[in-house]
Amino acid sequence: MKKRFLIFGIVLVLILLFWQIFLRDLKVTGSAKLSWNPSNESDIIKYNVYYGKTKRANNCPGGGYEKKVDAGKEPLYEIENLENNQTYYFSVTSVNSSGKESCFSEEMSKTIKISFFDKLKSIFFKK
Amino acid sequence: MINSKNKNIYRILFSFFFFLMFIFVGANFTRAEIIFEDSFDASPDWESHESTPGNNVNWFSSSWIYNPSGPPEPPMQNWTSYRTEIPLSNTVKRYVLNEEGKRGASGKGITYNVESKGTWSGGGLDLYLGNIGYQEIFVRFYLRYDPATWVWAWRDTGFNGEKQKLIRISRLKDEPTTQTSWNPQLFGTLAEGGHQMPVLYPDAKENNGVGYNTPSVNGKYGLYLEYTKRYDPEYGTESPFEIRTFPMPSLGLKNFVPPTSGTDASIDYYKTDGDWHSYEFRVKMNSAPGVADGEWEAWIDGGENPAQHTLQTGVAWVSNGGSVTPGWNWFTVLDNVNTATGLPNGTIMKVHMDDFVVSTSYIGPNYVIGVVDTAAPAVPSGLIVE
Repeated sequence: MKKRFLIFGIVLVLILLFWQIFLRDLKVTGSAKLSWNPSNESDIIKYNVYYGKTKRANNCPGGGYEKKVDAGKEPLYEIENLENNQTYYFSVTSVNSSGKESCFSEEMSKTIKISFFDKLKSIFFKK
Repeated sequence: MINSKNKNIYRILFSFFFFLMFIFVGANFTRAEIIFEDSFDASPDWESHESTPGNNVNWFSSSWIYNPSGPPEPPMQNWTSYRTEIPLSNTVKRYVLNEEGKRGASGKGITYNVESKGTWSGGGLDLYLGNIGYQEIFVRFYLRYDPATWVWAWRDTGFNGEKQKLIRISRLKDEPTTQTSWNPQLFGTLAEGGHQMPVLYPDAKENNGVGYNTPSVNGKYGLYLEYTKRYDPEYGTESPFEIRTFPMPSLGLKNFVPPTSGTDASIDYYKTDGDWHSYEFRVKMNSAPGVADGEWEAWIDGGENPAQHTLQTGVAWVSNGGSVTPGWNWFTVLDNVNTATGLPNGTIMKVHMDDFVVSTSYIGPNYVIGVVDTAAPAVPSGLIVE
């Protein structure tokens, strides 16, 4: 019986140590993969992706998001380094060769959830 | 306390400040994004003259639009000047503006009739943008190498391989409109006056290496772009050539035999693909003399193939002792060709040019002259986040 308690205690201590050393302050970030329909206008030169932690205030650029990235010509983009347990809001615009930018697409959201397994993976398979 | 006298002073100062704001904002409005564009469609047909007695190259000041008495051999509409070599065969004019050079179903464009000579041949069409210039400028144009007449070729002895200066992007330092004592068409050495510095020459060139072909072999190409940079004021003191494995559009048919009698069979020939391709270049002056923060950039067909886009940063176009003003203000397009082709002398090879645009921002292959898309594009649809 004593032996069992001893083993249980050692395992518990090891788990607590592991948590303390590797996981407690571990900041693991998530990502969001965006895709949208390609424009059928011939003079579209790129897309912009807007995102942030709050919903946009307006339907067109200038009233919106905390961040903007140039997504290039392809209708897909991956945003990395998003905080765990945080909800992000996303929209896309298109830009033509005259420099005109469309208003925002529909707004989509994603709450970043990083599982315990993902945290473990991040310890051993750091990017 | 602000008394009425002070109030008036403040009003005057405020009005003056407002006036200055208006001037500066107005000046920016006059600097539209598109600086110059020419589809040639509205121009009268035109051809170059190669008949100036005593000159084997016809140039300044006979074609110079600022010639006080008017140029006796004027350039095509909208352009500044040109220079051209007298053809060997004298059967065609070097530059022709008419329907033959058009891109698309209708309109006009430029035909550049290059003669095979085994050495340099050609001339150039000049565009001057004034004595203020632009610190950063983009230029885009379309070229089509005629597959029925044009071949690129290389031989391992005697010649350095065929090349063409697609364009010279430069800065004419001195006011040219009133002077008569120097030639602004000289991309000058210091001995020549050094008026055209700095300069970027993108050259279409064959690869001198043996066994290269297109598409790439060992990262090299049979046809590619290389760059010559000339700095201000130390013309030529730095290594002038920068080789970049930057593939040119081409069928790359090595050992292609041109359908021309008298062709040198010992030469490797490359055939063109016969399609129109977009060439765009950007140059950015360094911020101050001697500061290596200038740039140049190039795209073929908008860089859709990532290998056909290149960017160089850290360029000191103007060194200590020079001035970064005026900015870029001169283009010479369809410049000299080194026709080391092995074709019989006088054989005509055609390249066509159309839809020439100069802008303060990226233009891209899809920009259509005369069709300004003032409407914002449609909102993207179908956004999915995973």
